[in-house]
Amino acid sequence: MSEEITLQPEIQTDIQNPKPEVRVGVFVCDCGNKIARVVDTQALCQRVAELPEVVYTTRAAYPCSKDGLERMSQTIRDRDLNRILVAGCSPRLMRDRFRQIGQSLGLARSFVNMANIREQCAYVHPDNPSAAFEKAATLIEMGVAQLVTVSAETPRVGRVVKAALVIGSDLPGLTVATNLADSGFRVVLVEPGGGIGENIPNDLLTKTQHQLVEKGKAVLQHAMIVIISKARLVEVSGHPGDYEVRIQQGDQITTYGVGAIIVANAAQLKSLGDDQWFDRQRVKTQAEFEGELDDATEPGNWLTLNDIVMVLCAEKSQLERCSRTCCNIGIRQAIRAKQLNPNANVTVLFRELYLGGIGEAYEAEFMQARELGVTFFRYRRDRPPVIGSQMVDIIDTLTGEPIRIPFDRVVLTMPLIPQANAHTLAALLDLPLDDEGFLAEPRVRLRPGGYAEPGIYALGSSQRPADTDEALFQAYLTSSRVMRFLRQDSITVETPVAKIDATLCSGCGNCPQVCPVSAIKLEKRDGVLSLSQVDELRCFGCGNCVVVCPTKAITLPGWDDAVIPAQISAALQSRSFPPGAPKIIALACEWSAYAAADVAGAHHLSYPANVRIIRTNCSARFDPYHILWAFINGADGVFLGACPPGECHYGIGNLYAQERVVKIKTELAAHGVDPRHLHLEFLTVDEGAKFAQAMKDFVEEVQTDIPGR
Amino acid sequence: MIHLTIDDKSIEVPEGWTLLDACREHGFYIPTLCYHPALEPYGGCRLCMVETSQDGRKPRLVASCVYPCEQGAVIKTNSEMVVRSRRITAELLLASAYNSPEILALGEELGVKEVRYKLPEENDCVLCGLCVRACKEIAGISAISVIQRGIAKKVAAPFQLTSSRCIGCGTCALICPTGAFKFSEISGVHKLTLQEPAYQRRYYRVSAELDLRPNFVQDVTALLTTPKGEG
Repeated sequence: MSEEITLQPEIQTDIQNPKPEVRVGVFVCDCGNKIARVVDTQALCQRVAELPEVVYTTRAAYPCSKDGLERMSQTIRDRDLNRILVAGCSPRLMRDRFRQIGQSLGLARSFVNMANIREQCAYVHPDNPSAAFEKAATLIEMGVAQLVTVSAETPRVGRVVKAALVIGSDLPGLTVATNLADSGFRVVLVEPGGGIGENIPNDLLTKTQHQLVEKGKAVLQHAMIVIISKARLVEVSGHPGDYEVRIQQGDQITTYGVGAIIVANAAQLKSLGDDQWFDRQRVKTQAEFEGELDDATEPGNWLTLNDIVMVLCAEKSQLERCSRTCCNIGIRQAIRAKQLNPNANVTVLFRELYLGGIGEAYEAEFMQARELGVTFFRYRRDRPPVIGSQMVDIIDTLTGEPIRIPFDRVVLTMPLIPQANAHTLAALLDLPLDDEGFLAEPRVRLRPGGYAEPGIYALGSSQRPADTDEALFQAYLTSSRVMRFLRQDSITVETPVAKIDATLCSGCGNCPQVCPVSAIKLEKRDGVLSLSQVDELRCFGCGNCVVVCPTKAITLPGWDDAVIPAQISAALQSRSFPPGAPKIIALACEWSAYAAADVAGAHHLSYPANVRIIRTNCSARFDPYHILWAFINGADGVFLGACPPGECHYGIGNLYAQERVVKIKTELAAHGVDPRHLHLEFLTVDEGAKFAQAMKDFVEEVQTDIPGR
Repeated sequence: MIHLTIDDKSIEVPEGWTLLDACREHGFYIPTLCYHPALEPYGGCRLCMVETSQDGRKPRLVASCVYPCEQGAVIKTNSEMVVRSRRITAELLLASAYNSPEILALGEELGVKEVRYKLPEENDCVLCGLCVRACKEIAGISAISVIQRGIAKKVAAPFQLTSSRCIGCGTCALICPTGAFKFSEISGVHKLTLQEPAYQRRYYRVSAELDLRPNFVQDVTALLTTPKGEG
């Protein structure tokens, strides 16, 4: 931990530059003496100055200090540098600081980069200064190669249309619509049925019925809300903040521009199929029974039914998910039946009772039912009630005894299933569905509160059955999220975005298929072939399309086919590998293996020094050509590091990588390279120890396989 | 410009610098734990204490990472008072993180001979706040914060649940000086279901079609007649 700072005179090297358009300045950091203790930074400066593009090198104890940054910007101005490489700690900590300096001087963000000679070098090879020095020199050479080839990134700015589309006219949908409209956003409300605020179901709590009526009135009267009844969404184009939606009403299709789309579809009750063997006169669904109760309004008029058996969670044997509403409705119906006919025997058979909601309303109902004499029996999931012609047989879980209950009315609770249009909606909006057909809640960790992309939101029973309170809660949450999103003046996307060279594109259609966010579309072009078009605000730069493009028409600035091979070549042509040691290239996804390597460095976990790590944005960008390029240029092994399945920040880039590795291995084997010399490891960001161990094992394996070494 | 004296050396620094900035710039070593150049100073670990006296006033200890340089201040970075303060701080850190190599090295460096106190349970987290600040200032997320007070104080996501704001960048795990940060406990891992039909469809398509050789279009007429070519 001791950190004696040595203040040595700065070395400044000025070299005549053969390529005046690229003037790289290299700033080597001692980090107090955390780096200088292992790596001779002065010698490093001299070594790097030999590179043709480098016009200036210097070293400092702390380039990141206030004074260091000031001096750096002064130097950039004085020496007219247009590419900056800071050799120091991990770019994940300090690169933004340095990029801000570059930006203030008019340099593109991508023209300022860092070589990680602390976490990847000084921290992990403290016992081997000569190897650490060579590795540091190579890392800087790779960084320079990257800077020389990289193109400028320009952020794209898109507008935000101050309007939202709400699909669904139940309580959550109406709530979101009024909330947004009250805040001054135009709302297009698409309702699949018709008649907002009418036909309120009786089985709801009185409170909820009032809410529905009130919200319905508010929506109907609101000047900012356009209601399109009996309509459906037929087409969506555009990107977050600026969607164009087409809505079909009858034969008429209208186009609206909206900034956000909110899916608030209700779920529907599964219907009891006609092919059931039950006596349908005596076995009813909960909804049908509700109708019967409504018809029998006067107490005492309802004497025909004496033995009523309610089966909760019926038809649920293969489904895991609680439908949330049916227990409450069932208990309410039991109370009403008891009130209508106090002599009736009402039995409720349940698997689990869900008395959700906020406040005590539901539990109070349960207690009321108990007091009125409703009997409750719990049955086990693997022993569901057997409905006979006269009796219902169950096995009571408390006593384990079989019980026969006579009935003249059985009420079956049907589960909630997705709306019939859920599949169409999911396809239109490119949203994933879960096993039961509800909209899946993807990657809560990565995309909180929102949905697959920032402009699309799903709530309530479109994701899973929700009771009223839960759905309302979600509606308010979503409203606030949507408002925050729509309040933005513009959307700026700074991540690199794929670009297509129209002269090279053959219109083969590979790229739209692999794009995880549907940012690429084929468009007709004059002449013979169609052309791929990238939505620049939707693309998040995973690089998958670049890999599958057969004509190499797609480039991803910062990670393109010039930059990564340039780094591989710089890493391999360097004299830095000790004789006899295997040369290992590691392509590391910045969300997993690169981060894990940093953590390994921070914890001073040593691994072999003959590894050169190249950062990529996603494992989807592990290009087979790059891997082959590494082998052709003399690499003995290529290590790939990706996120574990299910944790990819770009969807499923890691699975693409895994699939490609299998293919490349067969190809390698066909050309006389041992397929074991290509290794894919799944790592999460904090698995430093696993990274170090995997690296050790891999290098050892490659080492033993190299003939004559 | 501000003139001040550090360890009998007269120096000059621009206005607005902290004492730590001045010391680092002029080569005076100050141990730190919660300081990171990429983050705003925090003044949490109290290891960077230095002695300052001005206009003949009684010398006092200040945290150099947050204390500004003052005109005519006389700073001592290694006086007896400073060394004793740092040693006690290190000893208290060792009382909870008694097996952390980083804290042990720090204790050794600051001359801690024996640790008089020991918490019954080892806790490597020394509450330096680096992870919380990195999440806010570097990642721009604020998924985690320091919660509760006193000895119950700890780093956690809201409601001590796994965070839904976390983007999984791992900057917190990287910046943690003692390696105490348990990334998976805080960020939580929500696995993407691979049953999602759209993803699955694409995935299998690509795996069937990807070929290492450039598959130039063999038959242009076939391409033109398929709906694929028309988008």
